[in-house]
Amino acid sequence: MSPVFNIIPSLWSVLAGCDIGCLDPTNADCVVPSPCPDLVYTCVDGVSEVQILGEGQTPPTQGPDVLAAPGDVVLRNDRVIAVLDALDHPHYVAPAGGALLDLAPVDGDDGLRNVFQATGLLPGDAVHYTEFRILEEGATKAVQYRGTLDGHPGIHVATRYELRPCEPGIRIRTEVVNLEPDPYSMFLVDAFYWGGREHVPFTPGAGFQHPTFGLTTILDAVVETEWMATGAHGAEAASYGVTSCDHHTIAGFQSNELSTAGTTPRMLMPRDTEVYERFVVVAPGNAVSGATDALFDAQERMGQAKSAPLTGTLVSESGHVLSDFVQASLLVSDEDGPVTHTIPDLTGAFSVELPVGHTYTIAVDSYGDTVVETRPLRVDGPTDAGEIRVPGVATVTLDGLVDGVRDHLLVFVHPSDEADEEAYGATVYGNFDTCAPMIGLPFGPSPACNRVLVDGPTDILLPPGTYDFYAAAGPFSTLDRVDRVRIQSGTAQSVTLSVESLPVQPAGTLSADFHVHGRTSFDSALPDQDRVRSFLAARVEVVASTDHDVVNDYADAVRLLGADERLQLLVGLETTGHVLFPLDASTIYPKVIGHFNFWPVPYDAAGAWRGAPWDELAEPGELFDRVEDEGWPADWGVIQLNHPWGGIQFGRDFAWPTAIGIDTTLPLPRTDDGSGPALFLRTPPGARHSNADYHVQEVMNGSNNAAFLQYRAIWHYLLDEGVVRAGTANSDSHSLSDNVLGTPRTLVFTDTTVDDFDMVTFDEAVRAGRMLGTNGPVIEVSLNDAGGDARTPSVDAFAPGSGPLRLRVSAAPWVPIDEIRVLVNGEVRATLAPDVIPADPFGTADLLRLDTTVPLADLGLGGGGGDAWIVVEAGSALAENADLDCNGVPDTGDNDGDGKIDWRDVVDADEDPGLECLETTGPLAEPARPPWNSDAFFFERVTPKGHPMAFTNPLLLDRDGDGTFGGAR
Amino acid sequence: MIALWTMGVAHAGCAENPALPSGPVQSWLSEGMMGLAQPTCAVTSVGLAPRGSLVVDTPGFYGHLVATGTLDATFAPNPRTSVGLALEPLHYDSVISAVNVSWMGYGATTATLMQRIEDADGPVELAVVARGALPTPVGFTNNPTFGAEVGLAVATRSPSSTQRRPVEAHGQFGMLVNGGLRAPLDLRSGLPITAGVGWSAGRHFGLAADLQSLFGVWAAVDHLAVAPAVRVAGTQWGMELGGSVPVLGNDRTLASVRLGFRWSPRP
Repeated sequence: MSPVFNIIPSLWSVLAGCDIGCLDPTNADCVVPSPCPDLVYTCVDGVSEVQILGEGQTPPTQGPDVLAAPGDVVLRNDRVIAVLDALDHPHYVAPAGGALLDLAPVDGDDGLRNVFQATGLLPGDAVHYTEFRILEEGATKAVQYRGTLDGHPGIHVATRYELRPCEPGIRIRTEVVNLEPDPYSMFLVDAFYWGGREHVPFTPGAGFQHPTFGLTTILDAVVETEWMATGAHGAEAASYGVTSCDHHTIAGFQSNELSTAGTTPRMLMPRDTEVYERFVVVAPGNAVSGATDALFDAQERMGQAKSAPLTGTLVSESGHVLSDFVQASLLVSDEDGPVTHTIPDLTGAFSVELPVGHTYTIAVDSYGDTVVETRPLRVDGPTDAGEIRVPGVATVTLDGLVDGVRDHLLVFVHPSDEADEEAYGATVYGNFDTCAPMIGLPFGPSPACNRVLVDGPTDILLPPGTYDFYAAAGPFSTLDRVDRVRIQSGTAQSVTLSVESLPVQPAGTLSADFHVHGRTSFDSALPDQDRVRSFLAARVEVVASTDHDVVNDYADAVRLLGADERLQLLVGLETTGHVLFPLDASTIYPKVIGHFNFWPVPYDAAGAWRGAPWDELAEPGELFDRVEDEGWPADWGVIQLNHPWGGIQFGRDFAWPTAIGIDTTLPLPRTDDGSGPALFLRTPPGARHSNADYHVQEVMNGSNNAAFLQYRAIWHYLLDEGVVRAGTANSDSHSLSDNVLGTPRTLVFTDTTVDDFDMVTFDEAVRAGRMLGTNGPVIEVSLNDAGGDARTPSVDAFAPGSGPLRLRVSAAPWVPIDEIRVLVNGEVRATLAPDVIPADPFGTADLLRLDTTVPLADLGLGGGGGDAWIVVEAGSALAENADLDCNGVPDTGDNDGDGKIDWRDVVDADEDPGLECLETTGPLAEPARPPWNSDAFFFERVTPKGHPMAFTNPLLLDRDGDGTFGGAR
Repeated sequence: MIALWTMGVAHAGCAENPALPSGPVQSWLSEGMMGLAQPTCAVTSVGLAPRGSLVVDTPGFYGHLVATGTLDATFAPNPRTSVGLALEPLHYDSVISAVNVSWMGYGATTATLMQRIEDADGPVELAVVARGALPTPVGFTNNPTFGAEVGLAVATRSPSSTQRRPVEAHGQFGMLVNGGLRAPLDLRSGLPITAGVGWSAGRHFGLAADLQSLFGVWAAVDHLAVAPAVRVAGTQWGMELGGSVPVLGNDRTLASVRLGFRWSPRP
């Protein structure tokens, strides 16, 4: 603006006679007006306060989702506590602080990841606050943030968060003004980041079921709705809701990862403005009704529809109290669809507020089935629905013995008959994976999906049916099964599973899982204690806690369970790119760098990100510096490249090599030629670390190991290129149901033990690659070097002697091994069949499947030649897959079963694209499922969708005698 | 009003055929004609002009398409004066981005006054131009904007001693202000400067090329644009097909194209 006119705006606002708030960004002293003036709560003893959390102060809320740290602003009244993150402590997708980070009832748990403002879908559309101001106006306490859009410095934004006494939520007003010369497409929203495995958004009419969408079809999923609320995993969670105060509806899309709620998308012309006022409520518990009760009350106070309670009692025909989300969920609907959802209390009673003047029905879902639907009930005032009778269930007491002693086990419950798999299958109102049967929310505490953590007699409720119960104490024990247990309503019976440890794990190894999540991660709802119980059930000995973006230490939970002497914790971190930025100059598309694990990282129980650094807007080398600055020991600590191949998850690159467009058919650029792949070896300007300064990479990730061929392709490519990094195998478990903890796992050959654990020694063994990755088979391999010493896999090269490769493969009887593959420079040079097939998958015999030698000459390594590497794999035969997009990495299987792999196998490909290299590919094919109840079938009973697989780290052969391994391309 | 309009004149001194558009190219980058250089010839006419402009910013994931239809009427009560009113009954505005949005409805309303300040037959024509843009576009939902402008237009024709004057040089410089009707006012000022030449081949065909510029409104250099035009005319109707292409400055517009038709009563 021309300086001569600076005085005019303030005069103008005076003449206009209205409170323009911060719509004039030149007014440094502006105050955003109080939102929702029509919303009035009265009470006599309400309180309110605002403070900036100081150093040494504990977070004001409780629960594992709490992220408050010094510098954050705390608003508190007699009912709720809200935390706004400090400007330099942003979280997740928000590029700067000023987002709603924690919101909890005063005596309840926080269940919120964060709520931040954005005005569109592009990275530059997120609001970047740069200043804040505390406002105390009598009993009204507020904080206002001002800034601009991250990619539009001329589009100014101011947001006021306000708390008044005795209110069940926080008032928010956001003002946006476009002082750029061009019109702007504006979709002003609060983005509620749920994370994917915790909250399920609920809107009137749609309930829990919302349109699915992709990155390019998000707008198709935007709907106008009166309000939005959530239900959540875990009874100790909180439910949230939002309604607008100045618009009739809110617009947004809903998903389990992210919900948006705000104003209808429109064009914001230069100088034009938008204002959005809303009320965000929180209530204890995981039922939607906690939030909707508060929302309907707020709407009534704002002069909208009156509401009244609908009460009733749920009565199980078996006399059991059904009082969790899966046992009994009540969906209350009017003529337009669902209005709210509730869960009975421990007496079976329920009460929900509903807008009056409508007729409602109640549908009761129990274990995934709608078991009762009431007659229509007119609600014009307080209404009693009476007793609602639902079918009975049975009590099953589960117990587990390991080596004859009662101990931790993860028990799987399956339908006994294949035909019942589909019939017993259930989802959470169409959300998340199918569980058969569903005895608990899939990502919550035990029981979860069809799995139960057992440590002594453990009661669960089951609907009538015929079930099999399975358990193993990790992959190196026997498998036990109690099958065809007929469950009848109202009965009580016991099932005890007993397993024995087997001498499969090699001496001198520790069983480790280097990729584990718990509720501290944004995409997990599994409490710490259940997480640790899963460690114990899996018989892992070393666990790296690698929650997304936040350091977490399970030490307290380990102590509470008395497990200090049974396992060792590596406190770590998984950095997870959320904020897209221009990483690769060769493309216009912004990127993130995927995910890396670090351990150990000092845990700071009260610090920002609990000791982690901010992990956004950085190349890997810069990120490594930041983590080192937080105390990660560069001399011996470990950095792991996670799941190194994959596409995009909610618009964010899942894997570093994919993000930069690695093409394994081409040499890896050794200099920064401006291409994406050149970023792999680059050292960012000013950084101490190179982008390739990680130590290990995942070759197996997840219990179904579905992307093994891709991870392995990248690993092999890098070995060929002389970029030698060790391979690991990890569960990447976020719950009891997405992956089984410790499946797969990494066996580390080390001198240290659980009893006398030395982390430096252990991590040095990891960095040296003295490891084996497995979900069941164990491969022991060695080769004599030129001096006659036996050498085992590692990242240390040696000159090979003339002796054969010694090979020994063993596994528990329930782990089928189809073949053993010997790969040289990524090519299968020998495929061996096991000598032994176990006679009884539930027995203890036939552990050693193969003990043999393979002459190097049989592997094409008879004499002379360049450097080479050997890797051995054992397990299922691999399904055939092909590389249809010509980057050297398998991407598509013979999915249509026609015997050839082409465009017809690509999901959703309707016609031949006429391209030699396809732009869209996949999915990969996996080995076929064994026949039901065949000997090979039982592995899947405790490793859902999994197939046996193990790999060794490489034997690096310095065949050219130069003292190093120079790659094998 | 209509009767008054029919009393207006078509000043014959500016061109051999008053129906043939003359003076600065009437294609322009900014909305609402603010900064658009004004012909120094007083002509009574009515006109219709569809216009379109396009921004394509691929790295910014941004596109902006504008299509308008302008109706205008200019009344020249004497050879030295004209008053005009331009209306946009139809304005379509669309942003193509991750979230596509658009609006369509009534657009700009612009009133223009031109008053010559020298002898009509002198070698150089000078005129004062005043223009105001009313806050009428419906797309400005919460803060309609207005604008005002004053400028000095200049033109000279060669050779000036003959009836047929095929070549002209023209230009205008001035000052404009614009702002919001509500908060924020965000009053901004700028300097529009235009210079160009026109050439007519007889009564029915002409060409023009201008350099258009605007300084200081949103940036030091809002735009420097080249603006060519082709002009044809009959006895009472004229047409100009012109475009503006920014070559320098803050304006991201790829090009703006205007096809103007006008009809004038017989002089």
